[in-house]
Amino acid sequence: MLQAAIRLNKNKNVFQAKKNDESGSIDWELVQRCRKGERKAQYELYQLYKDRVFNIAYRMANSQQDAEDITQMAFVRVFQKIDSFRGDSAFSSWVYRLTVNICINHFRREKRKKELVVHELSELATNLKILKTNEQTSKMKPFLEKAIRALPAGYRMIFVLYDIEGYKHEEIAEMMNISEGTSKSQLHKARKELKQYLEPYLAMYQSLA
Amino acid sequence: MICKNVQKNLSDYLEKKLSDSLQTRFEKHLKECPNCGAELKTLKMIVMEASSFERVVAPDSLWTRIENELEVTDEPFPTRVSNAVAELRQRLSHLFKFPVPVIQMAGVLAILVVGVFLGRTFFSTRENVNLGQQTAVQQAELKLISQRTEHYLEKSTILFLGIVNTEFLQEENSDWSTEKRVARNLLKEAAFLKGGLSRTKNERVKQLVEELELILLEIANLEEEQDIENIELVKSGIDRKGLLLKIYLHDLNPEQNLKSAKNIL
Repeated sequence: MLQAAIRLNKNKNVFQAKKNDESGSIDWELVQRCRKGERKAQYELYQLYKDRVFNIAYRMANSQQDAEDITQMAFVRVFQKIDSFRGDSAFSSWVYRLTVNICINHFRREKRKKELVVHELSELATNLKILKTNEQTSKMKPFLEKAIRALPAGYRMIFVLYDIEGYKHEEIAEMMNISEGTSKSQLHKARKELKQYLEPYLAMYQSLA
Repeated sequence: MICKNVQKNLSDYLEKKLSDSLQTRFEKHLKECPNCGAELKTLKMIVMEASSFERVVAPDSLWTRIENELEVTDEPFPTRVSNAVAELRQRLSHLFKFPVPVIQMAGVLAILVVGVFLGRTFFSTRENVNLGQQTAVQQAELKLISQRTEHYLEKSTILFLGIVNTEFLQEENSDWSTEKRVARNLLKEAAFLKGGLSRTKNERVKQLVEELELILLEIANLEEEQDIENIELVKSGIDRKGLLLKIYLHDLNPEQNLKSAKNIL
């Protein structure tokens, strides 16, 4: 049941992007028009990828403002560098690779102290009753969001891409220019670190679930 | 199966990527080991929560921001620079709000300062003129000293030759007044030349002049009448010091003398 839910969600997420790449000719034509600086074509391209890019940025930053800034940077970079796209990979992969690079560069220097994260999580637990949630949103999500923000940029990126956005290790390896093995081992480490943060609240989660 | 191996492969187990036999052993261990069971539970929770994060939607205003930035970067470089300058000027104008006469005065002052600076830097030739004049004076002085040294040596040679070649026995009533007068004049000349030559640092010629000076002094101090002893002393002095030979050698290479003096200058 769980597996089915996870895969369904992942499929839903990657569907739009894959659909664009399968009809590669449309993308290629768009790319050519974008290279000429055609604003309308740029807008069409933006419409195709904006939500995927925005979601990656949002999950990395956990802030609307930062996510908007990163998305803006990513698309400006895409249109500036579009001449260097040679078609060796799917265009979507190229766009996400630029996004991932911008995210990692943006968050590389930002290190949150573990003590601070533990403090924030305990505060969250204290104020759990007044947390506003709806039926679709579990009360554990804010905990997980806080814990994700405590991960180092590289681990966080892989966790976001694999567990939240539903990419395969193969795709992540291409986006981040790493091997599939590295992607797997870093995901394992990221999950392990998250588990350490969330363990104290597990009993609470089970009672809420 | 040990716990370490189980916990390491929990992700693969969760995604059903283990082989059938390994999965059976895995499940057996999980039933028996509460720690690994708890680990699996936590992991499941994390993965499930992560996969069910709600999707966020990029705001409509984002394209406008991107488009604005693209319009700036699409502009040719000079336009971008001029826009940046205009923007900077506008910002600065907010910072420095002075009355117009103050700005005009400041402008005039700035132009004056720049003008003086440029003038001093590029158009000041005073030092060069001085330097040129100095060099010309030194060269003229050098030439004069050189000429007068030549005359001095020439006259001394004639004087010495005259004395050396005199046979007192044949000319008993000889008069030395002319030689003494010439010697006195040459002594005055020697005093001038020594000063000049010490300035030009031409030590070799200066030394020669000084040696001649001693003999000239002896000549100048001769008695009016027959002073055979002193005459003989003068003659032997000229001979002993090889003065005529030294003058001769000096005369052989006058150009080198001048050149060495110039180099010293």
